[in-house]
Amino acid sequence: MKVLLTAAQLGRLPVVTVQGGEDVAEVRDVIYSPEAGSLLGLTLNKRGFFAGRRREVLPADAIHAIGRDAVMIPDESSLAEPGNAPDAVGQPPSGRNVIGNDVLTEGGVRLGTVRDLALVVGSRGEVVGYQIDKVGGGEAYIPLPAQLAVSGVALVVPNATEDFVRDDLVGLGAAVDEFRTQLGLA
Amino acid sequence: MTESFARAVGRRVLSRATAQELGLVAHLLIDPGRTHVAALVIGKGKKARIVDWDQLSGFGPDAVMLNDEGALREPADERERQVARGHLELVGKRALSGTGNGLGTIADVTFDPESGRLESLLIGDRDIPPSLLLGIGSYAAVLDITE
Amino acid sequence: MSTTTWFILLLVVLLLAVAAFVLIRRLRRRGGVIASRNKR
Repeated sequence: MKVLLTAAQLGRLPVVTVQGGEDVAEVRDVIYSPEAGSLLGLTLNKRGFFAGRRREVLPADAIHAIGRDAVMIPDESSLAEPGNAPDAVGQPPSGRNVIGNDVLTEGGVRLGTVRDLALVVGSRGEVVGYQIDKVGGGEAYIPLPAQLAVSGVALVVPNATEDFVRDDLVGLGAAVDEFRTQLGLA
Repeated sequence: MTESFARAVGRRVLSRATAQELGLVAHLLIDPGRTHVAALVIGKGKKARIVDWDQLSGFGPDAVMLNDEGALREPADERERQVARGHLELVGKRALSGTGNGLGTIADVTFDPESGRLESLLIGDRDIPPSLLLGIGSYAAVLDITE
Repeated sequence: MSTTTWFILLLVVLLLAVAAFVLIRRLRRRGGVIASRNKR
């Protein structure tokens, strides 16, 4: 059973070196690929209440592990200069923040608006779904299929997604495999 | 008889040669291999001095005995200076798994006073082998645990 | 205006400036969740 956490929870986590036990940064933006269903990288802030942004970024392949309490990297050299990181991470596209985007099925049914992303704990950033604010109010979770259209204003999901809206992360975890099997993606 | 870091801190340190009290145990330094107590820090701030384990004639329940005063030395590198300032103190340090999950705080560290060999880290209600330590820093001690 | 009033005004302005500085810093730290388009 996958233990999930949301990108909002990720956004507050310290980045800690395994070798040094030091909190070298904290997470700012979470950059992911909807097509691949995975994290591409993180942009960072410096630690401390009065501190500003940190120039270096963290590409997903440099992440050792993501847990409930920290993002672990082998050591500080895992952080990359924006010029040395993949463009998606070093120069994240602007206007592509999915929070607040409408979620629409291919058939034109609006399921809600995006509130957050759901990731697997312990992985290096497997994205499994979205947390949405439902049309009628309240929160729910929908699983992420491999193919998805994202515009920065709206998300288009397969019709089948409607049947896999779940109330909590636990339910989502169970729904993801079933959903993907049904879509023939597993 | 097992010793522990929490109990050892504050213990008197005397010279066996002169019976003079040289200070109190402030911190304990472990070796890079995480198997033994490597040295003690006696005194605080500018007066902090390091004593290597092999310079002890005995680590008793009531006092730590040094062979002689000459055994006291200044911190030799940045790591020892950090230990002397208390930044790397294991007792009370946040414990984090290598997978990024909090494990609690290290309540105490037990060791054998005869050999200096580390026995276990007490975290929550668990005894963790010190060999699982991957890194110790000012933020956390990282452990090779998957959970 | 009296000197005291000037001092108080100065203090208020300084405090506001510091508050603005801190606020801007904090706002720049806010992160989002960004969907990247894969170049395939």
